Amino acid sequence: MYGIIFDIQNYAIYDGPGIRTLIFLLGCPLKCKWCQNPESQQLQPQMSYFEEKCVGCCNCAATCPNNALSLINGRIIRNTSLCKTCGACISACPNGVMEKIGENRELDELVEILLMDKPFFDNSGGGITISGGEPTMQINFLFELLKTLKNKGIHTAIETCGYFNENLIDKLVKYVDLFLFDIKLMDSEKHKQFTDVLNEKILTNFSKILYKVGNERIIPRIPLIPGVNTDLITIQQIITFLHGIDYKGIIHLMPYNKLTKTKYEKVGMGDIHKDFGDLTDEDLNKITKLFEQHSYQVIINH
Amino acid sequence: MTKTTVIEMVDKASDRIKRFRSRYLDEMPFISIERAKFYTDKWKETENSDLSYNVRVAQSMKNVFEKMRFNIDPDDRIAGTWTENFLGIPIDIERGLFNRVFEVELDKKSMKTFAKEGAKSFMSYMIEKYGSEGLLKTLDHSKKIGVTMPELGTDTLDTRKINPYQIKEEDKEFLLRDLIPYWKENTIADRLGKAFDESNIYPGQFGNFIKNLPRSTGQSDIVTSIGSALGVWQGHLILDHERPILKGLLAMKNEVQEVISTSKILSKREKEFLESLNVALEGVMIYSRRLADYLEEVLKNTSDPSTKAILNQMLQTCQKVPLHPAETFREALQSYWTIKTAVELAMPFNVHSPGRLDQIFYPFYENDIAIGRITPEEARELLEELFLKIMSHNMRPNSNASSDFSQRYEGSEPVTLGGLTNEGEDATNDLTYIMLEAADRSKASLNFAVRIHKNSPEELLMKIADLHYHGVSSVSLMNDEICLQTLLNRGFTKEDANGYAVTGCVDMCSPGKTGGEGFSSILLCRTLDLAIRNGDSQTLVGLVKNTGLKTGDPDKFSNFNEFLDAFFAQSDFIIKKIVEGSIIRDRLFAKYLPAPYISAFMQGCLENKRDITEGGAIYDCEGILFMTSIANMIDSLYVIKKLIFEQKKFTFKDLINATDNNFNDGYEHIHKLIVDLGGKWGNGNPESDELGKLATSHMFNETYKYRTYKDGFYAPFINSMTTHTYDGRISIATPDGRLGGKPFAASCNPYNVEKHGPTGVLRSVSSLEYEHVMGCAVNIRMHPSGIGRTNESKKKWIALIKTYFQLGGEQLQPTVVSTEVLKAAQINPENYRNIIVKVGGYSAYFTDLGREIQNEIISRTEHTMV
Repeated sequence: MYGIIFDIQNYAIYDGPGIRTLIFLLGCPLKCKWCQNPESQQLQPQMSYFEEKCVGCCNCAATCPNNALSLINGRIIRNTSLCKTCGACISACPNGVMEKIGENRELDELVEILLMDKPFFDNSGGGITISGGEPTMQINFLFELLKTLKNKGIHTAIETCGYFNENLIDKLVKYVDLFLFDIKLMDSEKHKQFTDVLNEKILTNFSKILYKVGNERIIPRIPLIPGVNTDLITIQQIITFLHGIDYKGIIHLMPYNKLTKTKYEKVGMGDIHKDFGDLTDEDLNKITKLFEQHSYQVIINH
Repeated sequence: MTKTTVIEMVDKASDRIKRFRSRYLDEMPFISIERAKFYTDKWKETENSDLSYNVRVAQSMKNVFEKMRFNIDPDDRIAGTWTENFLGIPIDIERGLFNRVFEVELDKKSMKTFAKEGAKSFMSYMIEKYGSEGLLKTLDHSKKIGVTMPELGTDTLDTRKINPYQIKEEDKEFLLRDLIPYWKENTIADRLGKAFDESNIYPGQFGNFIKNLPRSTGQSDIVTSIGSALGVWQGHLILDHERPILKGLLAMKNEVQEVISTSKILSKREKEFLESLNVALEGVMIYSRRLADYLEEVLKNTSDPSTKAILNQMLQTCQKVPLHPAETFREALQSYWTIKTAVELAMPFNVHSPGRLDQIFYPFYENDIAIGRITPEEARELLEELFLKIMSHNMRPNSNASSDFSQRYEGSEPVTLGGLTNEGEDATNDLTYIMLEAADRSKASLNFAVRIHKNSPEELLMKIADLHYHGVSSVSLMNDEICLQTLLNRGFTKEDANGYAVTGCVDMCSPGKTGGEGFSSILLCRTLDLAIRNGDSQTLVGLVKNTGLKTGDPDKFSNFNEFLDAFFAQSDFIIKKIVEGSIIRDRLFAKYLPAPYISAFMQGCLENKRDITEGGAIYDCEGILFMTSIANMIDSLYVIKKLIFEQKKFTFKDLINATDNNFNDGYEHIHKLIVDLGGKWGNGNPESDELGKLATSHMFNETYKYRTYKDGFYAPFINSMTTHTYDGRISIATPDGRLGGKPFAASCNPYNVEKHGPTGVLRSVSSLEYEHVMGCAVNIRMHPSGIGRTNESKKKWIALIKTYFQLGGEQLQPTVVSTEVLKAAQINPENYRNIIVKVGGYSAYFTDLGREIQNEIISRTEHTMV
């Protein structure tokens, strides 16, 4: 069985208990305007292009077996309908301009790589966190991966946007030890405006999972996007929601990272990149306080 | 998500300590000729006597102690300097490691002449060998690659930017006119050069080649083969400080007398040796008495009551110790410092590390605290002063040719903390914590090696994590479980293994019992080159033939193992050269420069009635530093295995042509194949890790075959100091894809190929068999976010270190500072004077480092957090 993954990161210390290895699965149903990993949104592997490093030597175009590349106005243009993401251009390029994003990886081989840090997990109470994209986009692979890891006694976590079919919940709670569950906005229309989807399904899924697993195994993560959800009214709405469903666990706040422009440009999405500005320490403090006033323990994940 | 984390570097030190630090950093040290002068006077005087060398050495040094001047600064609470200056260096005139530096580099004109003469002899060698066309071609080729021999330049010792020294005009004149000429040909350094010439140590064309290379002015090391070199030092060590602190010098002198009077039969040699001990102890006693006299004199001329009180306290202390046993914490510190200063003056720059100071001082501290004689804060400030003072001894007047690769303070001389008692119980005490605090507050560029074991308190680990988070990069960690095994493997008793401490940079020893850890080095990539070229060696200035063994044309080998065997044969050969060279050196020391002052403070010498240079100490060792470098060697072997033997992408001939051409001129594709080869060492790839283990274990095991002149053992150390940048600069491209002129990997670091974070690095690093390695430096550069602010994240950092140790890692020395801060420090050094980084096995102030090392440190992979 294959999964399409785009990264593995070792020694992740802010994504669940202990020392963890993070694995990123490709594909996401949301299109958040502040997305930190724009290259992960589409479900198919793609090639990235770092224009700044390109000298226009055209070695890539000459090597491409599918004639997908051409030099136009000093930059390489890729015809994505011809490109088969074979990677020949990567080897041909002397400057490391091209990268392949997403790779089909065999489950067993992946598990072997993921388990290499097991001694570190064991000593720190860590494990493996599956992130994305949205991990449930590759649901069959996700279940197989989780099952395998559980069978090997590994602590599992997923980072999810929460937008998935609710009939997956029973099976997910069986294999996932910890849900790191994004909560962005309470206003559903606004949610759609900024993420492409309404939020009802997400909030329902959160409530249902919470009901099944309790406070210990689910953590809401709130990306703090300046001007979108950092006003105290929006935060109060989130608190009211969490109160309403009797959530009593900890809260992860994820301050917005604006240094993503290059990432967007590399996958040809430079024109839709938007800079939401800086989250001030003052705002962060106010938000933290508000949560704490409602007896929530807050962890800020820079 | 990466976020810029700026950790404020807080300077918590008192104004007094800040003054020490900034003066040590900013003032230009003086070269003092007093030691050289008074030593030489006595040496000349005894020239025609029938006194033995050890007695003459002891008397000559005693003459120094009788006549040298002192310096007392208003900020001093611990008294004693090794020159007449607040900040200065003595001259090791009779050993002569730097005599030629002084001879040449105090004057622009002599620098020019020296460089010109060197160039002339080199040119004629090249023309004779390759013709003038060949010479031009070679020079042109090297220039194109950007690989050039570092030049001496014309920046004199006192005008150069990195590590400058000043000397008074009349001192300079006397040094150049009288002292240096007198010692010419008779220093250990000169004698060693001559002994090498006269021996058969250099094979093939190598002797001729090395003779004609432009000479360096520094003589602190000497090559023993194309793939090895030898340090000309007597050897790093830790003196037995406990004995003088607990017994006092008077009692120690009585012990010598007693041995003399109670021994029934004494050989002439033994008698001479015991007499030299006697004189040496007298010498140190004179030093300490004269120091007290000087304090008294200063006191007499002082009227300010608070200054008087301070001086009076120092006077009382110095009148008592080290002559008599110390009874208070302050006295124990002063006793340590007096002995350390006097003995290191007798053998300057020999790196006499302090050892386990938290253990030695603790009984005194405990007692003082119990009766209210001192507060923890007072004790801590005294330690801050002591650490900065220890640091101030640790500089060397190296040649300007290496100034891009050096700095003022070498930052070695580690203080060992924590660990086990001799009985094997946890030894952590209150002073362990106070010393860590003092390390942070003093920001002394010293190593603090904390010994960690299964039962180390969690509190200690959390304290270390907190220091790391706050950018204190002078704290390294030693894994007791592995270190103890290593020591047992080398013949240390269980008790002595439990009590080990760290000297030099990262070298384990039994303090007060190990007579000197000399150091040689094996240049791994050059050794590998011999196997690739069937015993020849490619250098910057052409091919040198038959410098190694004829192990066969590797293109005719049918499998990788045959190649590996050829490499092993070459490395065995190089190790043998190291053995030959170090025996020649040690014999010279034993004959011409015995060390009565060290022998007096080393266990075993009195009992064996033998000088340390004759193997009088209980243990002895010659370290073989693995340089240029483990990572580049393993990666090169991995490239050869995968791309030549398995995938047959190219041949050895192609590889030779590619490296000779620096992977240019039609060899770019080979470079790309090499660079694109995944799974190099440092990624936790079992295949390359296994290969690394196989290759290094062979060499580690080879060291067990030999004994030193002093009947010590040979053992590997994995520590490059700054040679990875220097050797990199003068080395052609290597099969792992490293380009000519670029630094090799430092010490035990991977070559920046890490794609799997610190866990991948540590899995690879820990895969070697450290139970044969007497010390190693593993640098890992962390962004502060990789340790984190919260207790929860710090616990993960500790778990990382503990797991690495469980996997078999021996040592870890993190540098915690972000790339952005280091770059800012290059632009505005004045604002970043206190940033300490790990270089090879030692710490240094970043802004004090030569540019090439700065860049190498910035280029190391920074582990940030996601």
